[in-house]
Amino acid sequence: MICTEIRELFVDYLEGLLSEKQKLQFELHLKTCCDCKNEFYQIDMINQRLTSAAKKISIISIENAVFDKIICKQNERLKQAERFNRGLKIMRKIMKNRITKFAVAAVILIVVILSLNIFEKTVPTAFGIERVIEAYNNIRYLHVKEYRANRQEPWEFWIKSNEQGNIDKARYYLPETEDGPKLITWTPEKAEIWFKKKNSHLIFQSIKIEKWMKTLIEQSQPKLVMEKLLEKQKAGIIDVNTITPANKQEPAVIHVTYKIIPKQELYFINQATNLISSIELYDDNSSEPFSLREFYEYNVPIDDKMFTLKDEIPENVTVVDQLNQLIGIPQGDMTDEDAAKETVRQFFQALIDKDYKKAGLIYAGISEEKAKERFAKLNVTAIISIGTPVPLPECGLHSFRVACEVEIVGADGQKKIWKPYGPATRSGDDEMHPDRWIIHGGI
Amino acid sequence: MAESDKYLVELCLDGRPDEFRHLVRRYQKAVTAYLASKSGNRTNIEEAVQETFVRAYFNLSDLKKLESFPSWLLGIAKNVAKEQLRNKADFAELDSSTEPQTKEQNTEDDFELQRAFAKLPDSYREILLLRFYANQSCQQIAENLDMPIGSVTKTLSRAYSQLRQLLEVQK
Repeated sequence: MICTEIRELFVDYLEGLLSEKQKLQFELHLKTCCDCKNEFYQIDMINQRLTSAAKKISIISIENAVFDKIICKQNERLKQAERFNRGLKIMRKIMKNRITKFAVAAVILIVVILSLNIFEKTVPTAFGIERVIEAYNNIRYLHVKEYRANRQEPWEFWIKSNEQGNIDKARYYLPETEDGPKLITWTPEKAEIWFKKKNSHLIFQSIKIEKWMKTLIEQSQPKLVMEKLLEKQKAGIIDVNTITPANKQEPAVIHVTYKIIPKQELYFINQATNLISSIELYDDNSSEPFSLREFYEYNVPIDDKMFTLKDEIPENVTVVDQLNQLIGIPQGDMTDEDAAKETVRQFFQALIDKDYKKAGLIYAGISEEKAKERFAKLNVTAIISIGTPVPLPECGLHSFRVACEVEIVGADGQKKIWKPYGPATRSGDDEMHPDRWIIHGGI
Repeated sequence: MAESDKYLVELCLDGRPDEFRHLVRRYQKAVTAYLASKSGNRTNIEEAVQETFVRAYFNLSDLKKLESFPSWLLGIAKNVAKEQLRNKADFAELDSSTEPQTKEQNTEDDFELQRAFAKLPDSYREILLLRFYANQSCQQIAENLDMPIGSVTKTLSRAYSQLRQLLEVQK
């Protein structure tokens, strides 16, 4: 064998891959060729240094640590998948409804169109709050369901925005509240509430409802929710992490941790559209969210009929219209206490005079008809006394209970003294007419 | 004979994560040595090694050629090292200007060799890692990488030559 052939066999010799014959020839050549011997020595040295270096690497087995991490991560993923499936389960429930099937079909179409637009423009990298906000620029209709652990049925919201992105119209269905089920429609000009249990229909507008609606909208309009998050992130109140699964069919997750309070939030984002599919809120280390908001039917036009109660409420409902008529009595120069007493006095005087229109206007604004239906049977004939008003802070800053005694004529024709529980009167900034006093209960 | 990488990967993909332990055992030293060639900080290495295996496990389904598990694994280690370099700025490529921090801890470490090793092209480094740190014979490497044994010995031979040149330049 010549030198070049021998040198090609260095590794084979070191690895014990040569046949006995080749090995003999190899060793014989090295004995006679100093250059090859020197070359082989160099390679052998490197081989020994590598063997020795490998032996010196002392490692602690990480097998268990790796395995624990894998199990841990796998559990996390399963949990995520579970959440995703829960969303699907709810979706399936909704799909049973024939009308929503069409709506869902429309959503799918819109999602496809939206995703085409998005992919034409950019290739998503990581999910940022800004991107989600941006995705909402063209969303004008949305439908939200909020599930809470202590509620049997979800609260449901429908929102319509105008081209400037401001909320135009909203509808809220709250099946479980202290007052029983409530259906609310709202526009910046008019709010309507149908108290199903009390069977009353309140038409009004006030700073209070304005604030309440604003809060509800801020909590359920994803764009506003995201803008608030961004503010909190910039103020250093929250930490934000995003998880973007490679599989684009799985939702991306924005994980928000509050730095001081034990609160966490998970935002599940549809990777094709950048729109929120659900939000989960956790108030401590609990594994179950206390609130789950699901978002449906993005941009499926909502019929304007949904934003008015006209066609839904029963005919016999008690209409309390505070918007189209001047209700209550004016405060004028009276103190709050005097105004409260005067309200009660004028109410009973109206009953004595059988002026049910006036009584209705003082009684929160119910119709003359309803006032008659409700109070004529009392047959009030005289006011005996009107006591000192006692503040009712739970009903508002300017709310009082006014104990009183009135004379009534019973069904047997006998005069009696009747002490109502105490008409509750109210005025204040929260009301439709802040300077006017009404009776809101207690009779 | 121990099960092939391909067989173990198949078992893992079949929903038996416990089998991944064999692969961790088999390549832990190689991954450690690889990451050591990228960094001087031992604490970070252990974290990086664990991260490499965890990431590999969850991406096993992306592994197109099951035979090339070791090269794929080292590719992941490379990414992990890069990320740590970006995040912590203390995961430095070894070159003549950086001395490994472990020098004081173990004076017997062959730093010349480590430095030269760090400069090898990936394909050469990979074969040396498998041969010496994963302690695989040329035959096993050939089987695992699905290549003829002659190619393994030739690559090893070239890796030695290059390492030798790098060591001479360093002197």
